[in-house]
Amino acid sequence: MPAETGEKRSVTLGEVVNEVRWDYDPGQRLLSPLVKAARFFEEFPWDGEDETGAPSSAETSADRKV
Amino acid sequence: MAGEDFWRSLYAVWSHAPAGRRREQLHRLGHEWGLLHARRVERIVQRDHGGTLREAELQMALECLLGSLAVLGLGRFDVDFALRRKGLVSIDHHHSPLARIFSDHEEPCCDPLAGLHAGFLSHLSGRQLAGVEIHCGRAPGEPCRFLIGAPNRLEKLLRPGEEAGGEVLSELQEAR
Repeated sequence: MPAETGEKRSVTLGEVVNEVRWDYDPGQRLLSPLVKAARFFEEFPWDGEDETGAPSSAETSADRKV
Repeated sequence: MAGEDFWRSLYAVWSHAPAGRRREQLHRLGHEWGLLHARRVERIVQRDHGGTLREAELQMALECLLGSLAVLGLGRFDVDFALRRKGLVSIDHHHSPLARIFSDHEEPCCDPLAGLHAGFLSHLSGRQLAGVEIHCGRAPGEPCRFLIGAPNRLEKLLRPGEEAGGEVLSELQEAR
C-alpha cells in the first residue's frame, strides 16, 4: 500500500479507497476513514471518554492553538 | 532529503544535554518541521485539488502526508485509531532512519519523528498535540510505535516510573 523508503509514487483516489483498512465496530464509535478529516477530528475525544462514551473532562481553550 | 550526516550532526548538538532536555528539544524541532511540512503539502493539495487537507477524506489526507514523508526518506507509517477512547492515536512507523543510525542508543531515539507526527496531526485536527515514542523498532522489519495526543493527556497516561505506555500498549494489543 504505502511507498517504500525514498520511493516516489503518486497515489490515486481509487487506490486509497480500495485499500482502506477499517473493520466497522459499533462499540468503538469510530467514524469511517472516508469522512472528512475535519469532522473526524472534531469528534475525536482528545481528553478521553469514560465508559459511557462521554468526555472525561472539559476541553480547555488553551488546547486549541494550531 | 535528510541524510545520516545531518542526523548525526543534529544529535551531536544535544549530546551533552540531559536526556530529558535533549528529547524535548528534538521533539520540538520535529513538531515544527511537521507543521511546516503539512502546510507545504496543504499548498500542493489546494493547488491540485481545489480543497484543503481538512476537507479531504481522512484516509486521503493521511495518504498525502504519508507519500510526502516517503519522498524525504523518512520511511512510512500506519495510523491506528483503536485507542480513540483513551484520546490517543497510535502510529506504527516503518523504516525509521533514526532507529537504524542510533541503534546503539538504549532509550527510544526517534523524538524528531514523534514531533513530526504530532505536527501532522496538529495541522489536521487544529489542536496542539504532542507525541511520545513508546517502542523503538531496531530489529529488521520492526516498526517504531508512537502515541499522539493532547500533551496533558499523554502526561497523565504515561506516568514516569512506569514502563513507557505499558498499560496503554497492552490495551492497544488487545484491541488488535
